[in-house]
Parts: sequence; structure tokens; C-alpha cells
Amino acid sequence: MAESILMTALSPTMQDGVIAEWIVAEGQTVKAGDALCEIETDKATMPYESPKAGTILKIVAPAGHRAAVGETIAVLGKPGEDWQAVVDTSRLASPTAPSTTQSAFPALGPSSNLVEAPIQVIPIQNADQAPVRSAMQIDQAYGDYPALPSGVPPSSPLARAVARERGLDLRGIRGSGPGGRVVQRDVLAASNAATATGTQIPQDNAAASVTRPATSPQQRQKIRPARGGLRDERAPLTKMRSIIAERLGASWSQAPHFFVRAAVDMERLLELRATLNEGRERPVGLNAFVMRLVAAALERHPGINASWEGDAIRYRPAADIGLAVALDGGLITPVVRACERKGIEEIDAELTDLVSRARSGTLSPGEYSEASFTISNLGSSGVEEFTAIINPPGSAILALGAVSKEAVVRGDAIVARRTMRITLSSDHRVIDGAAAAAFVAELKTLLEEPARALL
Amino acid sequence: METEYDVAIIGAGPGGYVAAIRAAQLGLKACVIEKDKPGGVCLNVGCIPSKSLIHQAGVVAGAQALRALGAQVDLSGLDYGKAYEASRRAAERLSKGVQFLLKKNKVDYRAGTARFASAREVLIDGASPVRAKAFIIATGSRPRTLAGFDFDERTVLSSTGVLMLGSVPKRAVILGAGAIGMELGYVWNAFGAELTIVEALDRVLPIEDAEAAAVVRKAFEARGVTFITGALATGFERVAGGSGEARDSGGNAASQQSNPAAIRIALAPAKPGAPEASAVPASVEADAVLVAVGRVPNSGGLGLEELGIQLERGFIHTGDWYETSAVGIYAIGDVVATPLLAHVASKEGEIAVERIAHLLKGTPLPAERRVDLSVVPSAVYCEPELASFGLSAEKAATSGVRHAVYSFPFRAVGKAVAIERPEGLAKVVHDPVTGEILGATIVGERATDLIHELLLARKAELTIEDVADLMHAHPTMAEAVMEAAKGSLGRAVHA
Repeated sequence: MAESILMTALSPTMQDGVIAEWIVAEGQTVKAGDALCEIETDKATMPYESPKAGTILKIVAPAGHRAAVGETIAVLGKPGEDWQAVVDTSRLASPTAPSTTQSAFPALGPSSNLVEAPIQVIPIQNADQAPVRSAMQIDQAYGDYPALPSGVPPSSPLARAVARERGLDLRGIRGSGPGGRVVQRDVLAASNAATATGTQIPQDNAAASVTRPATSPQQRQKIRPARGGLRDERAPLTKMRSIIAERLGASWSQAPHFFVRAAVDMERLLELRATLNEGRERPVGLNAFVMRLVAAALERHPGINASWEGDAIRYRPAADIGLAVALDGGLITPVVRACERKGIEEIDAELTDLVSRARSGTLSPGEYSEASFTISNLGSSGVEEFTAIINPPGSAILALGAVSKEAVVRGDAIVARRTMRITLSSDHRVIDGAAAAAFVAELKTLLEEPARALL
Repeated sequence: METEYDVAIIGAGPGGYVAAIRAAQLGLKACVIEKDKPGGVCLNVGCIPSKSLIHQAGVVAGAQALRALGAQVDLSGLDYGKAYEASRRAAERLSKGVQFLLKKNKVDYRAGTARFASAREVLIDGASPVRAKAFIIATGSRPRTLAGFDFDERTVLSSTGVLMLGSVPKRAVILGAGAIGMELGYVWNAFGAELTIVEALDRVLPIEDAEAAAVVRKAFEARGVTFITGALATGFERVAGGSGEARDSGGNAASQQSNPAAIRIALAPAKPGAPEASAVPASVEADAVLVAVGRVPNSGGLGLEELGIQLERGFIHTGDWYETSAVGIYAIGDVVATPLLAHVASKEGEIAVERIAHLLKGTPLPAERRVDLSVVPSAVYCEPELASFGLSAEKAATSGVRHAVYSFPFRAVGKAVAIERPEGLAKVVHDPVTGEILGATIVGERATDLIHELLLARKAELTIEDVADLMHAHPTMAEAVMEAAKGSLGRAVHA
């Protein structure tokens, strides 16, 4: 059936991207890997390759449109399929202009394949009125809305009052209250973060006047070059941004990082996965396999599953493995607890639920804190290999690159093997080089010969 | 008997036993070690027996209402001993209930005194070892002594002594007009004691809102209680029936007198130069004195020093989830420098246990790392009752927080007038810009129940407007809360 093509994070820091140019047209048939469009991020312009074969049913985000990560940019399917069945048409509206199409499709909810990455806003009617994802918007304080516009998180009355007083837009704030509700402390943290950055360079009045929150989206569109990724803007920190800055800054400066790499032959694991997924309605994701095998490796190397506590090393009794999930404006690491005691299906089900709720912002703090080990997978972005910063209180993080065919020597022949490059970042206060190497070797063996995990 | 546990809890008071049951619910193998009775101070010599006595005192006070209706009420034969026995029955029943709950939840109950042998082992009575992956210290507190007034529990009484005493002194003095002094003072007064309450600060219930505390004082005075405020008790001497030997200021008797006698308590102004100092009499006589000047933590004798656990003025220092400076050892309740209240201890116990279960079993972490002190209710159960939370008007004024205060009198509440309880008020402190409820104090009929509407509103981050706009049944005492909220917005109807 038809499915959405979502804007993905092409770089770890990417929050949104501008569609520079569509290479394909509506109605055109594409193969997996064909470039669909060019996307401009804050760093570079990159081709966006189709994840699947099919026909482009609809281009939702036109060239020049800035789409947030997770936003639908096009719909792919078989010719003649109804693209509107995929896109939640009730959301085809900018927050300020309630859609007239809402009543036309009253019964259409999000289809099941959208659960993993819910559409946030699809402003096809008028790209100029695309909602600006700024945390600061004096003129659009929450309380002015008669009803909850899309993208506005649930919030307490006090949080709304404080946001109104401080001119903050609740849409930029992640809630930490019951059920992901934005509560007062979230608004205060966002406000403090904004104030802190605002006072650092008080002499920079010219820049400040350009980026004053009251600047309308239209004005900003005008000062932005039509195509280039460059822009003159000073974006106040969201709460998530400041937490990432603080936590990863502290991790990088306090934990002496070192890196151990390996190239892993993925043929057997991918075959195993293909066999297991045969006939399954919902295929089990690769991350669940990796997570389970990492847990098996941690059980054999418990010294990796530990936390630095200043005057002690705490060995953690369970493999609580976090997975970095890119979000609009940051990332979060939901944790699957005690992976060593769980089956791959169970891990996959939990992971699907956690990732889905991470994207909808409804994780509770207990679900994204206290990972004993973390996995970051940028393979879907085509990254060959990279290094990750340790996510405390864990002492190691595993960076997974893309699975790609490489020429390798088997016996005396050069053969093409699907290979994945992995990089373990370790905190040297807790883990020594030999221990990290032994763990990576164990993990490589398990990934290459998954049956060994049964031993 | 088992010796290996996931978590061992020292103390079976409202902090310890709640933590133990929560631990069992989370699948942890738990034991609780208690040197006295299950239920701790709260059930045995605190909240529960005192509430029983306060209830009995209210029944006696009801005689006045019957007289007002023309009934001939004869209180002859009124026996405090019977009220005392009822209070002991309540305490024993609930203490047994705790034992039953522990058993039902398969928590091992170990009688004896625990002392740490190492960070992973305690010895009970110096002999039986108990090893655990985590420990929770919930040893509570005991009444503070006052220099010159060592407890003998016959003439010089602690709150524990008062609650275990089967009679009421004829002439009684209470040192300290805090919650304990006022509650037990209410009981003694209702059962006929000639009562004087001495307070070092310039008013009763010094940590509560001054206007509300004055309502309580006025009601006590109307019942014949004498207050001496701004006065320090410096020592006492026996004046009749005894040897007449004076005690020195350190409280050491020159020779022990076995026969309890009347005493004369020497007083001195707390601020000698102040104008009100002249109102402080030189002494006051009594048959017994209750020293109710606070409580001190039971942190000694546990072997904490050897483990390097940090103390602050006797309280155990704790961080997130109430973990001490020793990894895996937690401390909760009165032994920690948070409000010395049973409900705080229970909540802290739950947080610590949920953290331990998270580490051992992978269960979710508790929502909060520590109790939010701005939503801790405090309650004084004398007549009239007083309850509060958060910022008082005085604290708001001195802290410089943006705030507005509105107080609504009970005499403007229909129900209060109808049931002849017009003494009291509901006072709310709020932020006039955001409507945040910063604190509240209620004094009068059912104050300890009424406070929870505002408490829930604060916890859920409802604003003062939400409370004002909520329809309240008429006629109820709860209308006082609604009117206080409306008044805060400048639209009280009955003011």
C-alpha cells in the first residue's frame, strides 16, 4: 500500500531541511536507492534516496519548502492508489488556518504504517504559511488558540499562563509532566535557556533585532536566500537543545573517550533476519537484533555495562540499552530494560513502542534515562562510519554505520559482502583498551555468527 | 531465618513499613528490622494515639453544645483513663495491622537493634547477620530534650510519656507551642487540666501563618488556657511534697527524688530588652511539664561513621532518591532533614525503594527524585484545626516572590455559621500574573481535610482561577476555599 516518505535526519544535528529540487515528478516510477530530491540542511546539500521501489503518488512538500525531520515530503505507492489515505488529511492545515478539508475526511485516522513516525504538519496548501518551528513566538502564545492546534503538546493551566507571560510558544517545549504534559518547570527551563543565550552578547543589538521573536515567518522568508542553506538567524535554545548541550558537553569533557572500530560481515545476520521476517506482517527491525546481540556480548563482558560514580564504579545488574532516536530539534535515547532477559521479538515490540512514543513526545523520564549502554545508528543516512559521544551514566556507546557491500577477501577470492562498520566509544575511567577490544571482538563474532549467542 | 535480601530496612515506622511493602510489590526480597513496635512513633506514640485522644476530647467538648440546648449534662465520673485505654487500643490494633500487612506481603519482620557491620551487612543485636544489596535507614526521631528538663516521664514528660500516661495532671505546663504542644494541650485542657503553654517565640504555632495561628490561640484562651510567649524555661525546682532540692541548669538532680512533687518552673524573657519582656512572669507552677520543643534524629549507634556516611546536625545527608554518601545505603523519614511528618517518610520510602528496584529489577524509576516540599501538607489537629502547605504570607513577603494574599473568613460561609463554627479562615497566596497557587493556610472546622483541594490544584498546576471557577456544593465548608480563590481574583461574592 501507499506510504509516506518522511524527511529524515541526514546529519546528527539536523532538525529540518529545505527541499532544494525534486529530481522525480509525480507519477514517476522509482527504484530503491534512486535519488528523489536534493535536500539542503544546515550543513550541506544531499541527495535523498528512495527507501523503496514504487511510484511517486504525490509530492507533499514542494521545492523550497522547509520540512522538519519526520514530516512527510512525498507519498510512494502503486499507480492509482489513493495517496490521501496515507496522509492524515485532518492535519493538512497550518495552525493558524483551520483546514476546510478536515470535514471532508472525518473518518480517516493515521494509518498503521504511520505509527512509527507520525506526521507532524503538512503545509501543502501554502508553503509560505508553514509554521515556523521557533521556540519563541510572542504573537502566537498558546492561549490565543480556541482549540489545540496540531503540534501543541498537552500542558497544565499554569504552564500555559507562564508561557503566555514570558512569550514562549509551547510547541517548542517538551513536556516532562504526567503523560508528557508540559508543566511549569519545562516552561521555566525553556525560558531560562532562552534568557541565558540572549544575555551572552547583549551588544549584538543588530542581530537581536533581526531575530526578535516577533519577527513574522513571512519576514524571515524574505531575508532568507531562495535556495541556499545559509541564513542570518540566532535561534534560542529549546529545552532539549540545552539538555543535549549540557549532558553531552559534560560527557565529552569529563569522560576520556577512546574508540575501537571493527568491520562486521553482516551476511548471516541479514539472512537470519530475512528468514525470520518471512511471512511476518511486521518485520523485526535490525536494531532489535543488534540490541539483543549487544546484550549477549555485555553479559560476557560485564565490565562494559558499568557507570562511573566518582568514587566508585557501579556495575549494572541488567543490560539497559538505549537507542538514540533523532527528533525534531534534538534526540532522545529510549531504553529497553534488561535486554539480556528478553527475546528479539519482545525487544523489537518494545523498541517500536518506545521510538513511536519518543517521536510523539510521550515518553516518561523513566523510559529514557539510566541506560547502561547506548546504540546510535546512522546507517539509514548512508553514513559509512562515525564516532558517538558517550551517553551517561553508561560508559560506552556503539556507533553503527550503514550496511553496504564491500569487496572483501574470502579464501583467495575477492567477494562482495554486506558489511557494517561499528565504532565503540568508551570511557577510559571505567573501561581499558583491552577490555573494549575484547568486547568489540565478541560483538563482531556474535553479529557475524549470531548462532553463537545461543551458546 | 533468611540472611540474604535485596533490601533490608531499618525501622518499621510509616517510612520503613511502607517502603518494605512497596519493595515486596516490586518483587524485591525485603526485610524490616525494628527494635520497638511495628508502626513506629506514628502508630504507637504519635499521630494515632494522639488523634484518638483528640477525638475523645472533642466528645467531652460536645457536652457544652448539649448544655446550650438546655440538656442537663453531668460529667461526673469522666475518666481520662478510659480515653487513654481507647487510644492504646487504636494504636495496638493498627500496629498489629502493620504486622499483618508485612506478613501478607511476605516481608520478613526481624525484632532487634541493627548496626552496620559493613556497607552490605548489618548485625541484629550484635549477633544475627543480615546481608542485603541495598539498605534503607528509617530509624526516625525522638523528642528533643531541653537543658534543665531531663525526661523522667513522671514530672518532666516527653510527648511519648504523655501518650503513655493514664492520667491528666491537675496543673500542667507545656513548653513549646508547636503542633505537638498544641494538640496535647487541647487534650489536657478538655480533660480538665489547668494549663499554661510557654513559647520562646512571640506567638503560637510559630511556623504557621500568624493570622491563622492567632485564631487557634484565641480559641484556646476562650477555654481558659494561659499563654506565655517570648519566654524561655531555664530550669525548675520542686516546691511541695518533695525534697525541695533544686536542679542545676544542666538538669542534673543533686539527689534523685522518687516522690513526684509539684514543681516551679523558672522563666526568663527570650528577648530581655524587648517591651513585652516585662509580661513574662518569673516562674510558673505545675504538677507536670510536657517538653515539646521538637524532635531529634535517631542516627546514632548505627555504625554510620565507619561507613563514611555524612551527617548534618545529626540528620543523615542524602542526595537523589535519598541515597546517602555510601552507595546502596538510603535514608528516609525523620532521620533525614526534610519535614518530620509521617506522610513525608512514606513517600520518601517509596521513592528510595522504586530506585532500588529500578537498579535491581529494571522497573521504572519513580517520577520524582525527591519529594517536592512545596506540596507537603502540614496539619495541626487541635480544635480548631489548622492546615497549610507551600509559602505562607510572611515567607512570601520576606522572600520577595511576586505574590498576592487573600484571606476569606469562615463567618461569611453559610455552613460554618449554621454549624456554629464561624471561627476560622481560608488564606491563599498566589502569583497575580500567572495565577500559580504558591501556598495556603486554612484554620477552623475541617481545615485538615479542606486543604487538599488547594494542594491538588497546586500539584496539578491548576491556577487560582480554576479553583474559583469550580462549582462547589452549597452549603459546605469547601465554599470557603472557593471564596478565597474568588477573592484572590477580586470577585469574592460573600466578602
